Formats: sequence, structure tokens, C-alpha cells
Amino acid sequence: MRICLATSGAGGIKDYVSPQFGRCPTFTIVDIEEGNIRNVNVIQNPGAVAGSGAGIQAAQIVVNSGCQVVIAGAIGPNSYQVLMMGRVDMRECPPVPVEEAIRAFLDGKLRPATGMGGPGMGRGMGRGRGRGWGGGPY
Amino acid sequence: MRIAVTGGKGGTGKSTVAINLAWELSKKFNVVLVDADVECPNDHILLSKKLENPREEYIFRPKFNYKKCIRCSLCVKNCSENAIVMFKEGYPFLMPTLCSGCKTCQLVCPSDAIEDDRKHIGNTYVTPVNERLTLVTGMLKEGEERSYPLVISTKKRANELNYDIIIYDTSAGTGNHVAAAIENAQLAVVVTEPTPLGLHDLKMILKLLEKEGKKGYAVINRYNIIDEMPELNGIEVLEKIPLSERVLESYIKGRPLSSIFPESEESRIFSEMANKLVELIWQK
Repeated sequence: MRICLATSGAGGIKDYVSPQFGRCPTFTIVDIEEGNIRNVNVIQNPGAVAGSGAGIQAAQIVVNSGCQVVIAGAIGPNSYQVLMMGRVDMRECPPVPVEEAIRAFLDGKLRPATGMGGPGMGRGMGRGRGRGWGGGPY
Repeated sequence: MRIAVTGGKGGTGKSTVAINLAWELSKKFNVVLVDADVECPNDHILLSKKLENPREEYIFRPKFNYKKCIRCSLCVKNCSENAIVMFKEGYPFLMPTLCSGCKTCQLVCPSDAIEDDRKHIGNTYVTPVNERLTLVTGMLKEGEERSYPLVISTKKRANELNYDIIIYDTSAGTGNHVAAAIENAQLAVVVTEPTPLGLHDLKMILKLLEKEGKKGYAVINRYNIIDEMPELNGIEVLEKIPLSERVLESYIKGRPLSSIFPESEESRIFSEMANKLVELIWQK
């Protein structure tokens, strides 16, 4: 299982979970094998410097990195939609160290994200979204 | 002749000035008044008119033809709004609320896989006010996030009409929806008030006018609410309008000043303002 954690600094196992997904500076991506953390990778979040649609870019790179789980303080509506399309399990987590967050997730202590966090578009959330995307062969 | 009425701050009297100015000018010229405050147009209320001749206005929206798509991701990379998403193993799809309708995706697509779809963003209206004055109004659909494209549609609709003078009544602020309303004008009437808020926003609108290369002339509304006129950043003052019950009554009744108080000082101010503007533009 591959987990992506939104991290608030340079990333890595000692970094802290970022309060937001779309505009956090780094993603720390780990593989879990038999309950153990393996292959810690850090990637830069393109959304951190994006003008608009930060969450879209962030979510896209996470899905394309093959992650099945995302852990962040909050996930905005745009990111949420894209991650949903990528069939990613989204979890909310307080700003604790990465290692602790992974343990909490594996112990089933992290609640599912709502997609209402983060700045998103500020208004009009949920209107007209989630429709008409069935055309692509996923 | 093309005149913009703007001001930066909300509630300074832009629409009041615009409708009275249009009314005065229509005594001599064919005038089109463009209500470009598409988020809350209300010139028709100040003129006691019901909006007529509605026309639906649309913007472009990409429609992906997955049979033609070669998955090159050029549309994704070139979308300045990041409104197009494509996963590694998938085809591109649209995040509809982020799309600005700019058509870049369609232009860069090498395989003609992006077809025309459209989205209704609001309506425009053409309402005759008197024999020589026509009001063109843009009204954005509730909840629509971008007003700029509808300002452009409203201007286009106005340009279908014949006129000697066109007046663009802009919304408050200094964003691109205001810039779009100003860009065709030869000069701008900047309505402000002698308050710290008015002066602060005046500075901002003057910066926008400078950027657009337009000369602005100030109209100080409610000039008599303070004793000493503050520094106005060097802008030339065209007219001063007092805080008066007659202006208020005309506003509440939805009738131009000279139609209910023809002999009043306030009517004279608007009539003079109209004459001065005509002279200023002819001098150019």
C-alpha cells in the first residue's frame, strides 16, 4: 500500500503533517509492507506555486504517483474531486510527525476527509461537480 | 464618443451620475448607456424601467472527444486555470467551475479532440428609455464566478446599436471586469466622495486608468459632508454634487433629476457636466 502525506516542511519521516493538502510544500510518499514503513520518497508539490487550481495539480501528481491513501490536515473541494476520481482514500489528521500519522492510520484512528477543508474556490462548492465525467475509460 | 463612469469605491454614486449624465446627453444626442455592473446591475431601477429584449449569453466550454484524443496532455499543460485533469492511465476531463472558457485547450490540441460546448453565464438586455436613450444591461447568472466574459458580451450587444455617445457604467473595484468596461472609453468620469474610503479607492482606480492610458476627471459626490476638501491626488475636478434631498428623492423615485426638478441646482450640475464632457472629447 502506498500512502501520501502532505508535509509542511522539507518532507520525510520526521516532518509534520501539513494542515492543508493543495498548497503544502512537499508530499512524503511511503510504501507500507506488512505494517512496516518502506521506501520513503519526497516530491515537491506543484500546487504550492500554482496560481489557480493548486489542489487539482497536487491531486493529479499524487494519483499519478500511484498512491492509494492521502493523509492531510484538510482537503479542499477541488483536490477532493480529483482524488475521488483517482479512487484515493482520503484521511484527515492533526499536524503530528509523519511516523505518528502513519501509525494512527494503520490503527484505523484517522477519520475520512470531507472535502470541505482548505480554501478551494471559496464559494459554490459542490455545485455542478461530479457530473459528466464518465467519458474516460478508467 | 465613449465615456466610462467609474470610481473604485462602491456606493459613491456611479450609477446616479451615469443615468443623469446619459439623460442630459440624450437631450441632444443618441445615447447608449451600458450597465456593465453585471453582478448587480441597477441602472434600470434608477430609470424605472423593466428590462426588455433578453438574450442568453454563453462562454466556451471544452468537450472532449475521446475517440480522437491521443492523450498528449497538451491541453492539461497549457490550461492556465489548471481546470483540466488527466491521470496517468486516463483521458483528460474538465473541472467545470475552474474553466474560464479561454479556448487555449482547443487551440493547442493537435488532434481536434476538443469540441465546442457552451455554458450559459447570464443575459443581456436592450431597454429603450426615451426616444434617444437606450439602456443595455448585462446580468450575470447567480453564483457564476466570472463576470469578465459577460462584461465583454454586454459591450458587444451595445455595439450592435447606433449611437452618438456611449456611456459605460462600471461596477465598483478595479478588477478585470472594471478594466474591460473602461478599455474602449476615451475618458473616464471618476465618481468619488470626500471620505478616507473614497479617497483610498480613488487612488486605486487612478492607477488602473493610468495603466489603461485613460484620463480621468473627478466628480465629488456629497462634497458638502466635510468642511475642507482633501487632497485628490492631482485629479482634475469636473463637478461637485451636494448631499441633497432632491438627489435622494430622484434616486428613490427612480427618475433622473432634471425630469422632476428641472430648475434645480443639481440638474444644472448634471447639464454642465454633460456639456463639459462633450467639449473635452471634442478637444481631443
